[in-house]
Formats: sequence, structure tokens, C-alpha cells
Amino acid sequence: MSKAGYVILAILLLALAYFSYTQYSGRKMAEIGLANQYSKSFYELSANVDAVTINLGKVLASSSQSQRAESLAQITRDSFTAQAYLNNMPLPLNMLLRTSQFLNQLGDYTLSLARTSAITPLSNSDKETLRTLFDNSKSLGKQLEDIQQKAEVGKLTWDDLSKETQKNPTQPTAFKDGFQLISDELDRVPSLTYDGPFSEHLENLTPKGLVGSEISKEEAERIAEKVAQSATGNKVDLQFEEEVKGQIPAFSFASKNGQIRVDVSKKGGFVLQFLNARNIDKTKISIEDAIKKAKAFVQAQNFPLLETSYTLVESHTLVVPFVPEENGVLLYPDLIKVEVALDNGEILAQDAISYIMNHRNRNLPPPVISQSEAEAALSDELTPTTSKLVVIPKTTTTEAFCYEIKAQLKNTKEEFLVYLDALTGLEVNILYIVPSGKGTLAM
Amino acid sequence: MHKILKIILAVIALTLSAFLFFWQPPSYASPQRYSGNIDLLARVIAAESQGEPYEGQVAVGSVLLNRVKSSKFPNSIAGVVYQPKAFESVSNGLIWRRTPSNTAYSAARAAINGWDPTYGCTFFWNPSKRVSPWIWTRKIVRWIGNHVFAR
Repeated sequence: MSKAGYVILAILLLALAYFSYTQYSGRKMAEIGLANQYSKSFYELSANVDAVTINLGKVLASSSQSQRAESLAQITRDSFTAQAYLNNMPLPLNMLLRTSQFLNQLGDYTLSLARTSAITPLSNSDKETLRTLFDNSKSLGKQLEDIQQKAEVGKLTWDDLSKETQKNPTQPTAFKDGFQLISDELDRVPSLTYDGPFSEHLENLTPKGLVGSEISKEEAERIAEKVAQSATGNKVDLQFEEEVKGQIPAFSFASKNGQIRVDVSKKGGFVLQFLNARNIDKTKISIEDAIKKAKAFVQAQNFPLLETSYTLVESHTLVVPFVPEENGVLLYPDLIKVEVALDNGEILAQDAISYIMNHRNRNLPPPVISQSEAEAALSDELTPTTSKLVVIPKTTTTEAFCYEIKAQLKNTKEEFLVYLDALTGLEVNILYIVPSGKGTLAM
Repeated sequence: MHKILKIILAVIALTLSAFLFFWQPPSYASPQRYSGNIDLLARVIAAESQGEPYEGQVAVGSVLLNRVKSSKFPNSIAGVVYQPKAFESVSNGLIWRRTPSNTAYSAARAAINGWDPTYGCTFFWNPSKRVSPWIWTRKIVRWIGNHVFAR
């Protein structure tokens, strides 16, 4: 080879070496950066669990109501923080689910206790539960400490943890195994049931409004086609797609092109969900006309008499909520939503799941506070305009029987919906009605 | 002849060297890509279910939101999206390489407004793709397009 050839070869090799080095060091930095994030999350998780254990001990040992409330509030905060750091661990999700649930329920439960412990002292069953939680938390802390000592957490890399298939599986990975052990131990601990959004009993709610007899697939298909025709104004040919095996067993049908889909409940033949997937790009009909179309659509089905409440416009479609009533009281948790196209009044969607999950006779007692008493109890800043009696959802499973009072802020005329408990007169919730040209939106 | 071949080889070698000296990897961090919840949701929907029927896209969005509500998963949309090992399209950067279509945004809005075609599912996967055996122990509720949805 000529001299020029050697020079070029040398340049090439130099370039290759440079390239390899920059790639290698770049990657090493990224690995270290990432490993730092993982170890940070691990150490934070550990620290928060330890703080929770200490505070649980304090709650059990303290005789001061205010001290207990404060410790409970700290446990809430630290549990939720721990849960967030836990879910930063680069582990297969199934290893984290139960531990995540434990921490979330711990935070949620102590929050509900912190609220009530200001008024009532801890019951014996609460104390029992707290004692168990104290033991579980202590155990969790110890297991995390074990992982820390065995796994050299600070040096972990993504590669180490990603090695799912190993030629010699006799080298157990202390990190993964440690978390699997934590999850397995918690599987033996029953999950908590209490009044809060993460409570165990919410995982398996029964549909209360699912009444009627079981229907056949053919009957369901007839119902589906009738509803599709009512929505679009044309006869629609639907075919059976599958059985839906969720909380509400149903038959699912779709049109050949998949644009129209209908889910009909096996019990009672209710249209749980209806979808007419069409793009709407202009508004031609009025909101009042759209509401009329929605009402005609929903009342033609096997629902009781329904009232509408606040509607919402979303880029050329109108969402109309419907609720049933009991002796004139509107039942908001039993919601059915209907979406109407604002170009031609076609029905685009219906969602009756909340209705089926919640509807039942509430056997409401007569209100203890009168309407005028409720209006008088409003803040001085507000002037009431209209009032009605309603049932509203308070948490995922509790409800409140209230006066819904629409009121205006003095001087500025901004509107609010104030909910006052009809039995105690206490304020339950306030919604601010956001003024927009898009129908009403209450936040 | 020999000389021309040598020249060609030299040019290739020099070009390759230049590339190796000067190449920079593409950067995924870009200031104008900051997004709010609907944006993030739409991106995951687009990356995970492009080409799926509309109901399937809303369903993917609902699975994410059901995870937020569930005690077993992170308690925020960002937490659920960025949970390590949760979504391949997040770990390989696909959610930022693709711009979500209008349909993906509609699906994200529908899911946030409470439409849930999955009746509360927290898992979904494509049965014809390789997935962890554990996920098949979940109770399947329904099948939309290419995805199976389970609790």
C-alpha cells in the first residue's frame, strides 16, 4: 500500500477510536445518571416508610387528640410520597401492584382517620387496624433495609435489572427478589376497607340499578338496532361482536364499518354505551334543539322519567346529562350522558354506566332545614337565585342529600352552586360556574 | 483501474471518518415539547393505538385514567405514563417522535370526560405480540381492534 493509503487508514482508525470513546463515555454518564435516579427513589422510599412507622407508633402511644391528628396527617403525606417513589422502581409492574396498594390505602385510611379524629376519638377497631399497619410498616422497612444491604443499590444499572433471561439463573438478583418478597408478604395481609377512594371494596362494586330479567343475544341485537336507528335516523345493520365480561355483563354489537358500537346489558337490556364515531366540523342547530333530540333519544329507552341539568359544548357537539328524580329530588349520581352532533342533531354517544351502577330508591327523609333556612345560611357575599333539592355524590360511595342553591356573588355577579346538607345545614360542596359561550361548565 | 479504486476507497474512508468525528446523537429533549395532561394522554394513545378504531383509542386512554384511580398504580397521569416498564412506547421514545392526530386528541378528551369503554380495566395488550406471561393471568373484559382489555 502507498504512503497515502497508510495515512488515510490511520485517519480512519483514529476517527473510529474517537467515536467509540465518545459513545462509551456518553453512555456511561447516562447510565450513572439513570442509576442515580433509581437509587434516589429507593432511598426516598425507604426514608418515607421509616417515617410512617415512627408516626404510626406515635399515634398508638399518644393520648393527645391534636398530636394524634398531626401524626396521622404526616403518615398520609409520607405514605403517598413513598408510593410515588415506589412506582419509580424499574421493576415489572406485577411486583409493585400490591405494595403500591398497601401504601395508597395506608395514606388514604390515615387521612380519613385524621378527619374524624378531630371530632371523635379512635374506636377500638381503628386501634386494632393501626396496630396491624404499624407491624406491616415496620416489616416493610426492614425488608427495604435488607435490599439496600444485599443489592448495593447505589451501583445498580438498568442493564442489571433488565437481564430477564440469564444463562445461569443461580445468581439471584437481590433487588428484584427483595421486592417480590415484599409483595408476597403483603399478599397475606388483607387490604383495607374504609371510606376513601382507594378502599378495597371499591374494586368490586355491584351495579345497583341493574334490574329486570336476563335477555337473549337476539333480543339484545333488536334493542341495539332500534337504538342505532333512533340515533342516526337510518336503519343500521349490526353484528354481534363479543360478550363483555366486566362489572356489568353485556352483549356488544357493531356496524360492519365499525363506526357504530352498542353495548346492551344482559340483565334488563339497558343500552350501557352507544357510540357513533363521526367527525363533526360545523354547528348548524341550536342548543335547545339538540337538547330536545337528546331527550327524545333517551326517553325512548327503558329508563324512568329523566331531567336534564347543565349542558356542555365541545367543538360542535353537545353533551347533555340526564338524571332521574325521586319525589322531585334530582339524583345526580345516577347519571346518563348523551352527546348530540350540532350539525344535524344525530346522537353520537350515550353512557349509562353511572346510572346502572348507582340507581335505586333512596327512601329520602323529608328535609330538616327548610329552603328559606338554607338560603339564609349562605355566605353574606352571595345572593340566592334558584334552589332545588338534589342528591350529590360526596365520595365514590357516599352521597349527600342537599339543597342546590344557585347564587350570585354580590357586585360581580359571578355564579356559584352551593350545596347545603338538607338534614344538617352544613355546607357540603361549592361549584364555581365558569362563564363561557360553550354551554355551562361547573367546577 | 487500480488507481481509481484506491481513490474511491480513500473517499469512502475519509467520509466515514468525518462522520465518526462529527456525528451527534439526536436529542429528544426539546423545550417546545412540554405538554399538559391531555397532550401526554393523547401522545400515549397515538403511540399505542394508531390505526385502532376510535373506541379502541378511547379505551387505551381509559386504561391510563383507571390506573390513576386505582390504588395499585401511581396517582397522577404523568406518574402512570412514565412508570418504568409500563409502556414500551414511552421507554423507546415513540410518544415524542409521533405527532398525535386529531382523533387521538378527541379520544383523550373523551376519556378524561369519563367515557370508559373498558368498564374499569387497568391492563391492555396486543395478544399477538410477545408479552410477559403474568399479564395473561388478568381477567379479560373485552377485545377491541387489536387489543385485549383486562382487570
